[in-house]
Amino acid sequence: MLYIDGMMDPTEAQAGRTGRGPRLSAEDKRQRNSYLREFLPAIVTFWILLAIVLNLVDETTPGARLWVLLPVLPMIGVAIALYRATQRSDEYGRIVMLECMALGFGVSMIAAMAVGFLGMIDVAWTYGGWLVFGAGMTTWGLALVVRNLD
Amino acid sequence: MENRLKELRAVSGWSQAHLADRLGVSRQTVNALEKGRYDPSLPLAFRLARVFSTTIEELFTPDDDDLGETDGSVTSPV
Repeated sequence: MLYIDGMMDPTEAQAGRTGRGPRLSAEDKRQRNSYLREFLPAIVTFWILLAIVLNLVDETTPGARLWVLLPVLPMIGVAIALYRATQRSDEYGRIVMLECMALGFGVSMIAAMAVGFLGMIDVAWTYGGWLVFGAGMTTWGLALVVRNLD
Repeated sequence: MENRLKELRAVSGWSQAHLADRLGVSRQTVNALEKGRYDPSLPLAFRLARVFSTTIEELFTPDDDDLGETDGSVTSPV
């Protein structure tokens, strides 16, 4: 039996299943494509610059303190892509994204505080900043995955 | 808040994605609405009512908690 685009077998509809018809709505695709169009160039540039910095820059490189900051620049693009994705989201998507960001932010702050307190007793971690970043991003990412399991 | 979205969507023979297209929202939003995990904003509730050619009151049934009253009576704001 043929179904008009977007329609589904009535028995499946009765059961609430969405196996027939497009899994993503046009709004989903529009949001995803816009996000990827902004996010991918920034993150690819980040990885390229990170590889360059890790392989070519060390303490003896002239202007090393500036060169090692180079990968931070494309992260501005990533931040803008995330901000714009939040703006483009519909009302429920925005709530989900903000809840997950709040979780990530909370865990980041706890990690930063832990690193700060450890620093007070001279436990200085060279990579303490990465611990804070990793904790926050991992929490945010996991929260998004869990919330999107529908 | 309870709603009849899943029931009305099934009667219409639409997928969640198709309903989402008609509303201009994501499929995830439709799913959350149907499962009662999310109560829509007033503009979205009006769009839902229009899509199903019905009224908001026909679509949504508030719980006692939503009404803030346990006996269903309405008190004067003054």
